[in-house]
Amino acid sequence: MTSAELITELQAARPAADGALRDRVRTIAAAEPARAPSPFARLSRFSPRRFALVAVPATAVVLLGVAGVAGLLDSGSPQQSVIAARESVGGTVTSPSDAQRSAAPQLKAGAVASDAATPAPTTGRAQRFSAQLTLSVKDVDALSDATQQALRITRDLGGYLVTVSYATSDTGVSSLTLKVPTANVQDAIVRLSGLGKIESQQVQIDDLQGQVDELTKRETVLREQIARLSARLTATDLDAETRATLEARRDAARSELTKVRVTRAQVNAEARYATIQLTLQTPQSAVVPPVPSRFDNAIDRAVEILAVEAMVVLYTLVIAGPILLLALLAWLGRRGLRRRQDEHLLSIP
Amino acid sequence: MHTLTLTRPLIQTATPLTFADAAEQHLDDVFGYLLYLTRDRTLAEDLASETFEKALRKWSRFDPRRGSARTWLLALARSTALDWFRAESRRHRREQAVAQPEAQEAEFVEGLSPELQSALATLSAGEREVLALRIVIELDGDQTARVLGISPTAVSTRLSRALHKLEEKVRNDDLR
Repeated sequence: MTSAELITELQAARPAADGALRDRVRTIAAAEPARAPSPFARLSRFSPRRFALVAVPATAVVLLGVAGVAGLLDSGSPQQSVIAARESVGGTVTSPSDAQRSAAPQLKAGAVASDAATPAPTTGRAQRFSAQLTLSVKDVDALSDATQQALRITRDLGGYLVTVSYATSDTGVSSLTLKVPTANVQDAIVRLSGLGKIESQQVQIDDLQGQVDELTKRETVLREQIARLSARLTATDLDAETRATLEARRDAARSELTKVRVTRAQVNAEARYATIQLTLQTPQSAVVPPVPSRFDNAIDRAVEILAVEAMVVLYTLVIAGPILLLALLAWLGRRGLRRRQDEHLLSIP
Repeated sequence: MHTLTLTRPLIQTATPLTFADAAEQHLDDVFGYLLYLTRDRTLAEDLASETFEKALRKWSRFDPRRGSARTWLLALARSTALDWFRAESRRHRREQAVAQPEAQEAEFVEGLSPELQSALATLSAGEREVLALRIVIELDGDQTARVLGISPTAVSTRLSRALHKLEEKVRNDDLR
């Protein structure tokens, strides 16, 4: 008998279920519940592999989405960013509207404001007046011009330059120490303020009048003392010892008088000239790092959140990984063993 | 002028297969397969019945896109039969000292020659199942591979070996 004949015979004698079995199966099938189209029924068709194929990318998309949305929500407003950036630089805090004004040519308006705000020295009293003024100019060329103008204003008002420091690269700073007659200091500050946008201004006034009055009084006392001592020394009946004592006292008084006069002259000189520490610089914005946009903030925040999510996933894998690996090995082992058992069972005739 | 021949309808209008329909259509296949596997008509009937009970419980998980109801039911029948074989193997091990193995039917398929019946009885269950699936039930190589959980090449090899063995046995019986 050939293989073809065997096949023909096998196919011809194809077994068929008898009526009793057919009835049993029909009875089983009659118990079939009506198939309601429920979403869970569809889900139950997913094999673990298919489920993983959908679940893993879906989880990744959800994690990315969470990071993106959280990044957008936490990115903050641009105004807050500007202020925060300027504060972090350590410079003067200015609102965005101030920053806009600095770009516009409103230097006179700034000068007027300075005039009203600057305390003036009191006329007729000796006072030490010192001012620190920081102005920003638009660029290095403007810095050079402003420095020249500051010197010219100082000279015009009867003052003089004490020190100057001028340095430029991409940005520039010019520092000047100026002495201006106190009587003209108000005018000087107003005119100097016009050279740029006021970034900061500090004025300090120390009253020296009390010190001058003390020195004047002491000078008068010393002068009278010297006059009295000189008058006593004109007497002829003085013994040598008394004369020597009086002369020593008069010399000491004269010496002190000289010192008092010098000190008073110094104090008066201090009161006569005000010291203005003027700093001119190119705009702070040139130094301030670029303020990140809302989009950049959102991206940064999203990256931070993604990093946290990645860390959580990594930790979970590190902790659960060995357990999952053992479970996988156990499952593979059980499957292999079962297959071998099946093969053995099926090898028996 | 080109003629377009459609091998499949453009719109699937067929109503979904019910379990009762699937059971009615494939009962003979399931029973035939189990009969060849077990060589015991009564047992094959019991296992077929159990297979359809299981199939009813799992029917909601059946996805026609992943395979036909026929291969799904045959795979389920195989799993049911293997469970029974395992249980029986354990029972035999337990009762080995006191019980004798049950004698299987010499003529388990009606209509086959006695030579072929006895030759089939000498084949292993694994060899008989591949003959049943590929020749009797006439599944193709891929479908058989899916039911058995092996590659189509392995199906081919097993079938060839089983046929060769069967042919040899029948020839030897003829010579006697």
